[in-house]
Amino acid sequence: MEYAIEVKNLVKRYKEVLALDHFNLEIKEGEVFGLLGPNGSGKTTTINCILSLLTYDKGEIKVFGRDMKPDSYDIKKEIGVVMQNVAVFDELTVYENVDYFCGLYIKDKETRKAYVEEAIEFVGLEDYKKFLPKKLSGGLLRRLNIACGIAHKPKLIFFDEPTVAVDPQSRNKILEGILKLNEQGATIVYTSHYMEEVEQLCSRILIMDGGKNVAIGTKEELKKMIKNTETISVEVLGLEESNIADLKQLPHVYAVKYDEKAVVISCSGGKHNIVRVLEYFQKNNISFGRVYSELPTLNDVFLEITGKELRD
Amino acid sequence: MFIHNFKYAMKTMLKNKTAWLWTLIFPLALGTFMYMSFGKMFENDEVFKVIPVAVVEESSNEAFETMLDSLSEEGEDQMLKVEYMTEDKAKTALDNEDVKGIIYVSDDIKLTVTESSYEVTVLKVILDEYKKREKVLTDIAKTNPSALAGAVDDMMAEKTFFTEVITSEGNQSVYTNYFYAVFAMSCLFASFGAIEKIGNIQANVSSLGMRRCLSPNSKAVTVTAEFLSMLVMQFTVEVVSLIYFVILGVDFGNKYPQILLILFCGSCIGIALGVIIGSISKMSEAAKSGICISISMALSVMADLVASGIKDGIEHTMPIINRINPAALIVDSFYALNIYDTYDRYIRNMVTLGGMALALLVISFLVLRRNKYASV
Repeated sequence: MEYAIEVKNLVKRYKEVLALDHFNLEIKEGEVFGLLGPNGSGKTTTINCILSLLTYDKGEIKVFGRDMKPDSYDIKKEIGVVMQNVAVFDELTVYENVDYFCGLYIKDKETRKAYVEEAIEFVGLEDYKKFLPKKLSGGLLRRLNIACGIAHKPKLIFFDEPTVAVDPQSRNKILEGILKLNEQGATIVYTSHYMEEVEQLCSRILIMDGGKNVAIGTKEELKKMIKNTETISVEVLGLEESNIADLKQLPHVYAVKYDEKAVVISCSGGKHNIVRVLEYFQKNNISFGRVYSELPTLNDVFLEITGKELRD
Repeated sequence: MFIHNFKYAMKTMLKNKTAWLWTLIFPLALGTFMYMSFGKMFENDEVFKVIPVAVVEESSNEAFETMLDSLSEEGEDQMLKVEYMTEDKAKTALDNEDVKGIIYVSDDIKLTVTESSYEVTVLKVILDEYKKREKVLTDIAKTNPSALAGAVDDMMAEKTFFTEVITSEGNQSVYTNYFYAVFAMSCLFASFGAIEKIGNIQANVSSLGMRRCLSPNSKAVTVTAEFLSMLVMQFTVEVVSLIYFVILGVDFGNKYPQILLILFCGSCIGIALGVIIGSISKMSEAAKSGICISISMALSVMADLVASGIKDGIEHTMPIINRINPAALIVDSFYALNIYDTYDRYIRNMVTLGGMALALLVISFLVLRRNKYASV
């Protein structure tokens, strides 16, 4: 399989700050690739370097097997970008905005017209064609931003935090649209600090922190990298130190935390851990309330690898 | 691709009503205020009224009285209407504004006035001129008495060393200069719009700029399309202003094709100024606009927009500033067109304006063509 993007040993400094530290990345054509990391981890810097907007100190970047440079117009034709900030003309209507940006890539008028209509329909803005951006809600504006970035049917699309400050309805529409674009053959690079979105969309995920590649793989592979496989929470009152010590002795339990209201039991591997925990409470006549069992999230992965929360 | 960019550059500009409306209103409003202020002066410029003056004879001064008689002779050249009277009557006449001043005739000529006015200035000039000539003759009598007769003959002959020759069909009114300055300032104010436009094509300034930088387009095409769209708009504004001023009655002469060329070159330099300020750094748009206002105002003041005489003063002290100040060049081009019969000075100004605009654009383009930034 061909690589859509290859980044080798990329180093980028902002004066004294090391934004990217010998960063490596390979994205295959047809993937939905997620770049996950907290704010300031280097996600946007990585994208801007790949897009040749930013200078970098060291490294090599190839897009579709070719060196990416500012005047690589043949490569740029194949790329679409949906930026974090909405980038549209306030003076132009929805249709005109999409038409303008599409026209920067597509010369043929008829083709362009068809593409513009398709993009507007794709993001569900058919009823707002003649609206000025200031008349659109935040969610609709984000959809317009997406339409401007994808109207020319690019083979590689970057989505940089496209759902920030978006209502749930628009968010679902955006995420569905991204998957649809991938089904149509586009390679997607999706950056976010919303782990749920990344989990839902991406076939492979790279976790970044401090400009470094912390972990890479499918979500299953990433979750296997950590000790935690299940977290059991039980609402319980009056638990004693001896009970906590007993719980720690149960098979596959490696950590127990109690805060006077609920006990949180972290398990590593094994099956039926929850049954064993509840059996312990019954056997010792300890009454309990609601019980939850959670599988590890990418936040757990990030927390365990870096020692900090993803949304810090 | 150029046509697509140009079409949308025009669309965004035309739809930004606030921007183009203010660009248009500014010269029209300023011109209207100036016309209202200068309206009376325009009339005064055309008709000279005889100045009534009281003369109080304290002692005999034959030479001076002869001059007064000469200036008050009825006819086309009459400047004064002289009435000899007592001091008391003269003061009453001055209080009642029947006369503009009282001239006390003795060995030392004195003038009494109550207010500053155009007529008072004329009276002062007449007396100063008389005193100067009197002193010249006194000095000659003391130092070279033999030359006195010749000097008196020369003065009596009232030799004129300058002959008025009408060389141009243009308007030579000093007040029209202010309207030239309005055009100059209006052209330079085109720089504000240019800053915003240029910001919108720079990835390190705006999100729009970033998106446009990512497209497979040469910056040359984008910059040229934006520049030309701004030029069309600014030139239209200048032409509308010209038509409005002409309707108001301001006389710019009859060399309209040449005037349009001035406005065209002026629009070019104004926009080019904004383009280079917009492209030089990563400063905020507000900071760049501040620089633009300061530069435009300073250049306009130096071109006599606020007060007449500053440009002339610069011409005597640092003439090079007038040769490169776009506002001064625009004003001077109008002036040259209306004063001189040849086009040498006008052409020199046009070439300088065009050359400077081109140079600014080339420098801007060299800065803007870079698509890669240290930070965005």
